[in-house]
Amino acid sequence: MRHRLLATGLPTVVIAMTGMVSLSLEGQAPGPGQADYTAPRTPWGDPDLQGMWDTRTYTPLERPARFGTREFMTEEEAAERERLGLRRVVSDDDDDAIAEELIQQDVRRYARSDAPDDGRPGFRIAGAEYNAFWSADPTSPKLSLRTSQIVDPPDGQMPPLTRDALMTWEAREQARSTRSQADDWEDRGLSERCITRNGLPGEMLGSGQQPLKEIVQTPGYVSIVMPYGYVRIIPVHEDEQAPLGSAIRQWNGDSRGRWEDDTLVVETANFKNTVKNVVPAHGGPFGGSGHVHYYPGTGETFRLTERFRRIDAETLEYRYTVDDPSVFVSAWSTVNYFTLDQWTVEGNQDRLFEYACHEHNYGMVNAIRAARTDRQWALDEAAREAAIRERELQEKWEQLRAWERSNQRRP
Amino acid sequence: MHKWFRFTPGTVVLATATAAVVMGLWLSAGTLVGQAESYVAPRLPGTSHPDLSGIWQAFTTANWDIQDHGVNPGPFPRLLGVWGAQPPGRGVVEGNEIPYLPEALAKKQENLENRLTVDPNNVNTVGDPEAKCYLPGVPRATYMPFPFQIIQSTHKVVIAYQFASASRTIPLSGSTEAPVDSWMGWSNGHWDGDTLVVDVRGFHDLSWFDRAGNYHSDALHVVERYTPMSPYHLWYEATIEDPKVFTRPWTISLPLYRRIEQDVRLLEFKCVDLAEEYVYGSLVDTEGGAR
Amino acid sequence: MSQRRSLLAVLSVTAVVLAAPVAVLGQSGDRARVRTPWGDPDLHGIWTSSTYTPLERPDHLAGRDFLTEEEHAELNLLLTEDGVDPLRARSVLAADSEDRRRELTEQTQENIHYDNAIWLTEKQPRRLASRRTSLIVDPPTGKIPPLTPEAEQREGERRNASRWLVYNISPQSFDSYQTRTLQERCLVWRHEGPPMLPASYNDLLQIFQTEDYVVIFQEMSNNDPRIVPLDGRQHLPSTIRQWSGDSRGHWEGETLVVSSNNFNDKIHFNGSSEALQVVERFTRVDDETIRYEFTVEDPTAWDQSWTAQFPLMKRDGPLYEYACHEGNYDIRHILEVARNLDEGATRGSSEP
Repeated sequence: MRHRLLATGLPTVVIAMTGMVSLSLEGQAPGPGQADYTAPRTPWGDPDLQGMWDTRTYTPLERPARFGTREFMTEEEAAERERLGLRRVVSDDDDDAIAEELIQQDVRRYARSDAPDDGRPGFRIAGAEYNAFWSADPTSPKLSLRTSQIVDPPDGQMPPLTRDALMTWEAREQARSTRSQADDWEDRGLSERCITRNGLPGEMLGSGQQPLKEIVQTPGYVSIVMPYGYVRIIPVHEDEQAPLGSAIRQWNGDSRGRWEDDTLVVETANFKNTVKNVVPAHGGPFGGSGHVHYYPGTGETFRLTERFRRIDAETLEYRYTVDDPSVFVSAWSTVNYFTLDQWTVEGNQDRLFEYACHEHNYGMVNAIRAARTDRQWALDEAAREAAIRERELQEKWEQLRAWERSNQRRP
Repeated sequence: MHKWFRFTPGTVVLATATAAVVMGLWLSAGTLVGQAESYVAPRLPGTSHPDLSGIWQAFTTANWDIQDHGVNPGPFPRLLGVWGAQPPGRGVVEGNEIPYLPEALAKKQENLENRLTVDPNNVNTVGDPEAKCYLPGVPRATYMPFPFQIIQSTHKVVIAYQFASASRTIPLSGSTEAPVDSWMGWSNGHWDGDTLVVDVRGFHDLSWFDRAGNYHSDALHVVERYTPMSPYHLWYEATIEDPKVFTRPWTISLPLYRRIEQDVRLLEFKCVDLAEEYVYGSLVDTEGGAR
Repeated sequence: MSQRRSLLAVLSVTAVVLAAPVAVLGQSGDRARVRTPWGDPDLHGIWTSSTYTPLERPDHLAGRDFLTEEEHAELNLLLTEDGVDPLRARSVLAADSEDRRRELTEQTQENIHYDNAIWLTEKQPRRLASRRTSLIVDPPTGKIPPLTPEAEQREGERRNASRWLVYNISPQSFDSYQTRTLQERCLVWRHEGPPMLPASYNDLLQIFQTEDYVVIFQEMSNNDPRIVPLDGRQHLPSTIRQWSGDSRGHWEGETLVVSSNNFNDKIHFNGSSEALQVVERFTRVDDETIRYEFTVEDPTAWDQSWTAQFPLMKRDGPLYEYACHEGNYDIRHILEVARNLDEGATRGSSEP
């Protein structure tokens, strides 16, 4: 059995232990890129961004407070985080003992969660084996010394949500309060319904389960084959730039692109987010963690701008800016790096696999049936998760008030 | 000798004029016929192959029934009126015959009778998968009444279908085996002159060919051919082979038309949330307070 | 009736824009032959099928193919008097006495279809278009051949299931739209065909031609204009059945021959089944007239084929849109009233 890298999801820096992808932190860490690098061209003259890209990152979205306004950590700081970290790359020669250790790492991770122990047997380890299987991977992306994905605002934090957004969130919580975990499919969230996974831009960053995306170009278009069952088609031809009217709204918006020298600039609008309730699990934009849905907006005012640039033969710099004045008090921007996937380059895989989620969604059938069988239990679960979200909602109110104070805005 | 024809000036003028008109019609007809055979599509830069990129769509009623079919009131006429009616259409099957094994034909009838049945215990084995917004499979995805886009690069072709965001990635060299069965199959492509040939295997048995219940097993093997006919047409053929269901291979063929509107693009047709009431509605508790 | 004409230019002014052909005079021969620019006989124009000649010969005229000139003139005079009900006048030849004739042709208050006197005022009066005593010319009896036993039974079952309002009213006839006639339902009129029959009103039809197609557009039709290809292609496969069948045409000398198959099982042309086959023949006999002839065959209905003939006469247009279904309050009213009666309710309708 081939053992692979376990993605624990903790914000640590990974040290490569074997020869799969060996690199030192300094010399090859993705950064501003080689000054003298020019991206190759397709035969029709566009910058060539094609390839199978590992879009995972181990850089946290928001900057840990200790780094203040520093975009990059030092090597020493990276080493310290490694000492605290849990990640290891394993090779073909390792055996089941290694796999077992990786599973125990997951168990320990769950054990550290702040969920109160409600006494249910196996609660803390439930799913650990499942995750280990899906997160295993033969390669890893390149490392980065960045302290956060977010580079603007300068403190590396996601800006506060607006009053409108927080009140929308509260209204949704109110609407949810009489509903159980699975009265019908709308209680399960866009991801479990197999409509979108994390939406844009969240889905542009890979996960342990689905690290890859493939870029395929043709004259006039750049396409990105997304792992969760769709292709982003971005017209780059000058003549194909007319925006859709506002009556047409799409879960993943409508994208149009242009070249600015070697950079592909993509503007996306016409989002729809007709999610009525604050929903458990992931789903709309900024899916969030731990059953919090961070996006209390309709998508009407959301504009996403992305910039793709090949900064060396194996690295694509990916930047995005989120601008939605109904939801965030200011726009915010991130930087990430995609790594050319060596597993594919070596000929082990020539395409992404099909993602047929809805076609086999017995999870939904079972969830609705279970809630119907014991609705009280389903209501209690809903209340438990609502309590978690309530804490996060209050944190967000605090964040907004602090921001308003420091910006001398009146509530 | 009986004079059966008289030459008069009028006759000569008329004959000449008629001949000119007829000659003109004949020549233009000949040009149109010859055009399809001699069309040379522009190459994809950097390759010696025609560029099939673009947004294409079939205009047949084959999604209702790939064989010849007359009108039909369709399901639920009281609710849907003519929205739900089946229009008439010629089939796309060459010879109009689908050579089912005798024991396999009964399943087609069963499919047809149950095509709008939803069974939550067998969500994807009973009823027309299209109605549930499941992936349409190959070749059905090609002739559904929605556009699809071919994105052709030097080493691979991506085909993205508007319906259910279905897509396929087709490498243009080499040939790999499907590691697992899927709805849209596992495609390997190569060029035969100006024809893109796509060999597709690795299907499971859950998709249908049309709304009439025509189906296949997991032994399905499809070979598609996409041939440029003019700047605005591809000729599409798909040969279907499935020894568990049919006595011999059979072929469908139809033209694909380029969508030429300004700014035409695929629009998102993620139909899952349009199908949920249909698929799960019977499970919802309508009395216990859930609704 | 046929007259010699010199050069004649015919321009078709129609609602559908086609190339306006200029008919060119052919040469030689005594009778003028109107031709399209590509040399086919020219059938272009607006024509009427109207005539009060009945399909079948009335019994009291048995053995007589034609009326005398005097009889013909007298009846036409009668038919063009004020107050004649064009719908009842269909039976004018059936009357075997003067009194009966008057009774049949006069509009009465008991059975007004519409106020005919107003809406049937036309420049060209309706009459008997020829001296024939029946449209049927074969068999010589002028009558439809007897139905086969199979067809008799089929017709009997059909009549039981769906009683026509005029001929036989039974309670079931108001159960559903399905027990109403195809005319009431705006599905197909009896004159539409193929084969075509004379229409009582809205009787115009328009013929267009190209080299490859002849198009027959009937004003009062619930079905598509018949687009008849002339290129010798095959009929549709037998799985596809149509209200108007499927027509294919070709020229035999001066005559356009149109053969039609693939009828559905609902049209019942005088007892036919979906095995009906129709051959129509259109021959332009002079500037003002096309001779229209049809032969029908259905081995499940009749032991022999039978043939009918009537003239299509040139008329001015235009043809108007016929939106039958869109204005069809009749079905709704009929069924509403029937349901009300069923329930014994006495509430009145708010509409007259």
